[in-house]
Amino acid sequence: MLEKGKISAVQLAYVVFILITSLSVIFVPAQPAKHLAWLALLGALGEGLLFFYVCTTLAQKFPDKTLIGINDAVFGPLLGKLVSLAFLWYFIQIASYNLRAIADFFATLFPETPIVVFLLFLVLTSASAVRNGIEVIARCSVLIVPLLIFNYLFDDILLIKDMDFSSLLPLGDVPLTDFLKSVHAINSVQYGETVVLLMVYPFLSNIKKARVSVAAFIIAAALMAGSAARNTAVLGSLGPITTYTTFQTIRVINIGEFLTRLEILIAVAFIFMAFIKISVFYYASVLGLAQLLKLRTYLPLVLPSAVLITVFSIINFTSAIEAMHFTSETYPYYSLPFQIGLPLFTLVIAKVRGLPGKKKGLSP
Amino acid sequence: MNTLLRYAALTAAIFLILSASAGCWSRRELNDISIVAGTALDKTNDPDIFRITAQIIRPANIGTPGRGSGRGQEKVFLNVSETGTETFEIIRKMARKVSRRLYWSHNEALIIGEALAREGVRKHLDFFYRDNETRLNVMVFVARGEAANTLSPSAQLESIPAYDLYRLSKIQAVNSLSPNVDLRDFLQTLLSKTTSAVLPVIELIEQEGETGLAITGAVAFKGDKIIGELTPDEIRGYLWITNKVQSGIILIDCPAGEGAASLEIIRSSASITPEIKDGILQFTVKVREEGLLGSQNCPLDLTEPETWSALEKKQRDAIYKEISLALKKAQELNTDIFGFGNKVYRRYPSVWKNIEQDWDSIFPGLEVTIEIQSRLRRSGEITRTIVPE
Repeated sequence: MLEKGKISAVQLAYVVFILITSLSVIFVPAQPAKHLAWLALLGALGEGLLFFYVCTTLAQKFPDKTLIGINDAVFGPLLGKLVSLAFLWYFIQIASYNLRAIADFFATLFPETPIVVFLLFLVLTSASAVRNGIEVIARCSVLIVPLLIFNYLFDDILLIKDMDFSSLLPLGDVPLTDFLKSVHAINSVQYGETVVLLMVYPFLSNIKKARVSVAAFIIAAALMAGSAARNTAVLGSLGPITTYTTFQTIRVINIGEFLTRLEILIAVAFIFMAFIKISVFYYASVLGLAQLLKLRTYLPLVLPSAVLITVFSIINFTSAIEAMHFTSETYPYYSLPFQIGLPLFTLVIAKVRGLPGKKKGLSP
Repeated sequence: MNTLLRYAALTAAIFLILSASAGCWSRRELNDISIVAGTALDKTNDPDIFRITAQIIRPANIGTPGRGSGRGQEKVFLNVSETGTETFEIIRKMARKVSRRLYWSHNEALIIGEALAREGVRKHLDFFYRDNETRLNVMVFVARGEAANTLSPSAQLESIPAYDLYRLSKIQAVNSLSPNVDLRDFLQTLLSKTTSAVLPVIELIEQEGETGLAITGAVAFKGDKIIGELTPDEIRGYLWITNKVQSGIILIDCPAGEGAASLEIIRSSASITPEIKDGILQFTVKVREEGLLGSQNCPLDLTEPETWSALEKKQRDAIYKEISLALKKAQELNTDIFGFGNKVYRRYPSVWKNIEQDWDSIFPGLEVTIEIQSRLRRSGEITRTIVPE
């Protein structure tokens, strides 16, 4: 095994929390759902839990195999490797999208700074985390999540006086297709991306407890729905034209001319979260590639992958507008085969082929 | 050897991080920026060209009070103005006159000249939300005459006029005779198809031989243009309906004989409820108010139970009058400053779809029921007024 570390199911839940909430710290991709963004977030939770259920079922069938191993076992060595390659490509892409998202965010705040500066610092920090393995990434998450939860609640409370809850009405009036589109778009960038954990499950000390993470799903969804409702209540009709809704909402905080300009907390929180999310995907792609190539260690792949991710994040999109359009219009469908299609297909094939075969002499 | 290499690498890394944490490209050192405190937008004779005046804090003259103060002291602010066709273009052009980079995060007042506000302000405001330095909690005003003039009165408490104006607008809550509107509220009305804003009016006044600044009233918008002016009664009526009255004085005649009494508003709340009865759209405005007897100049004992309830009735009538005046004015001007349309949309979204287009013809004829629940709670430190028994 390339990774010798072990993490507990609770630590995994912390990682899951960050994977889910990362982007929503600055905005919720629920433009079509308008003032019902909070409801769309809860709807996406349902879809996300379904995806999660499929993935964990698959992982529990092959408790000692990562996604690469599962693909080999289910599809055979050749086809399996092709499927694995597709997944590795997907992981690298997500790492680069997230890198781009945070770099674009900071470039909006600091327009003169070349985007490469943000990219390099982040990717190098992530590289260091990846070199140290999944244990370190998980322990970082444990450190960060309480701060994030505090951040969410703190901001909610400070904004109560600026909220106009009638902005959340009427409950209807968003066309169903638009609403479902939002639900799916949210799921694809938040809950759905937990498919990457298929690379991590074998390092759980007890795979049977993998579903502890459902708690993380629910807590994250509740906090995000709360903050989406808060954003709508504060920004009202400004919401749909705002690039980084949560960020703008926090800027409104003004408690007695004293407690103001708190948005930097959001920026800091976003750095932490993006760091974890990028690290997880980065780690998954590096580990997967090492397994695919049957290397003894994945360390030599870390820095070259950093270059790959950085370059991808630059050349993927020419502008932040393009990136946002991709995230809300193309990505929800592009990600479908990876997030649910292939895992479900793998599960079905495994069932049909009766995999994993009973080990001789072990079970009666 | 290996450990030596590791130490070298570590030291290099630390140096890299330290040098980077000292700043980055987009850093703004305090001595390189000039802080904008207020902004005025004005029209020029050319319809395509407009003028922006920025009030900039002069850092060198701040923080040295005492010695040499009084008349003849150098001003702590500098007003810079520039003309052009687009907001950001004009603002950048100011660099021709200001030796430091303008910094917008502390801009507290946005003043729109009356003439410009009559033509429409929508197209000039994009920058103030889009830019990363500008903030949504800047207060918005309409200036009588040229907006730029209001940035340089001589009589004020704060040393920087724009900040004085900001404070002035906050303190208006004690009278509730002018609305307090920040950019967030104003932009929300500009994004609405039916709801319009009411902005406070500021103007220069002469007092004791000096020029001062005062908030003197309010104007109603329709979309992004001024459509009419409101009287003080109408303004407070508007504030009652939109639940923005915080405090204030209701002046009433004494129940019997000569003289008047001031009733102080302690708290109020209001709600607007649309209802469709037999296919007809109706509105109910409910206002709850609590007040107390602030002072009186009539020689009566107003705390007698009968006179007290007469006072309460007069208080109620005064509020009713203010509200009905505001409603009448808004319907005359045909501008939905209360957000009635929005209320219909929120309660009856499907009905709203059918009537949204015709709102301009529906609004002036709307039937509005006013329900007021007002109480007079206390009489202050004394009961009977200062007359012998």
